[in-house]
Amino acid sequence: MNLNINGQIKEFSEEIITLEDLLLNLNIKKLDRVAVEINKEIIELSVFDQTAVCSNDCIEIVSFVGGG
Amino acid sequence: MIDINKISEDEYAELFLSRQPIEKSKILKRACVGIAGAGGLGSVVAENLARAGVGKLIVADFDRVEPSNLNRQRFSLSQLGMLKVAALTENIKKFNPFTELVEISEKITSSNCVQIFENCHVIAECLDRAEEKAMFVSSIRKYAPDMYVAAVSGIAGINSGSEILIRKLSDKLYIIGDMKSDSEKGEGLFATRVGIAASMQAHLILRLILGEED
Repeated sequence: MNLNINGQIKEFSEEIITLEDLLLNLNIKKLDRVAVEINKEIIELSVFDQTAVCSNDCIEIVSFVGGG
Repeated sequence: MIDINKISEDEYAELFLSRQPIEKSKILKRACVGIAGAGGLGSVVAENLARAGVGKLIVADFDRVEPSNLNRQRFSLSQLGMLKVAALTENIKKFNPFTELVEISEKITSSNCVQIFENCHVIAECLDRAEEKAMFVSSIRKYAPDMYVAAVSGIAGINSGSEILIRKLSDKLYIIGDMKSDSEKGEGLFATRVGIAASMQAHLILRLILGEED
């Protein structure tokens, strides 16, 4: 399955079904520190594990760090 | 030297903005900007936007001024213990009596943030913790998708200020910072680097209000 992540096309295993699977595969462990848009629609943290990712999705992931 | 006590507020406003193009100041005067957090970023963003004559600022922060804030946040010793939103209003009113300041001294949550910043054209995300930033940006993008959001990530430490960049993430979402310097990793926060990001954030907001895109 090919996904466009932050403008780069990458290939992923078909075992990745949900957004949570994808984030863990990308080694993003602190899921409450990211904002994610799939095909320009924001996905809330509460539904990361229920949101399917599909081949050719455009996914923007912002991993926030602290300081303000 | 003009005697400030002998001129009207309108006359002062005209003098105050005399180094900015009039047509741009008129547009800025009609704008409303939301500022989520009044710390190192928010205190600088609010001051910059008030200096540019933005008409209305809605500033939300539940915190009070502490000594550890004063290395970078634009408050004074005499303001220790004050609500940051009140201290910020006090500071801005000393040079700009005409910007309308709305103080919200509540903790920002996913359920109140859209209501707090209703009717803003642009929102500056100036929160401290990564989790709060992610929650805030996700909530505003989801429930108020027509608002521009200028968020910040990666301003800690003493690395070069020139690593701080503006990235356009989607139609209405911008992220300012180096995307990696985390204040929780012991690099600390300096007025200079935080201030660079805050000034870039405020400048981006002026540009968005004026119809320019980064």
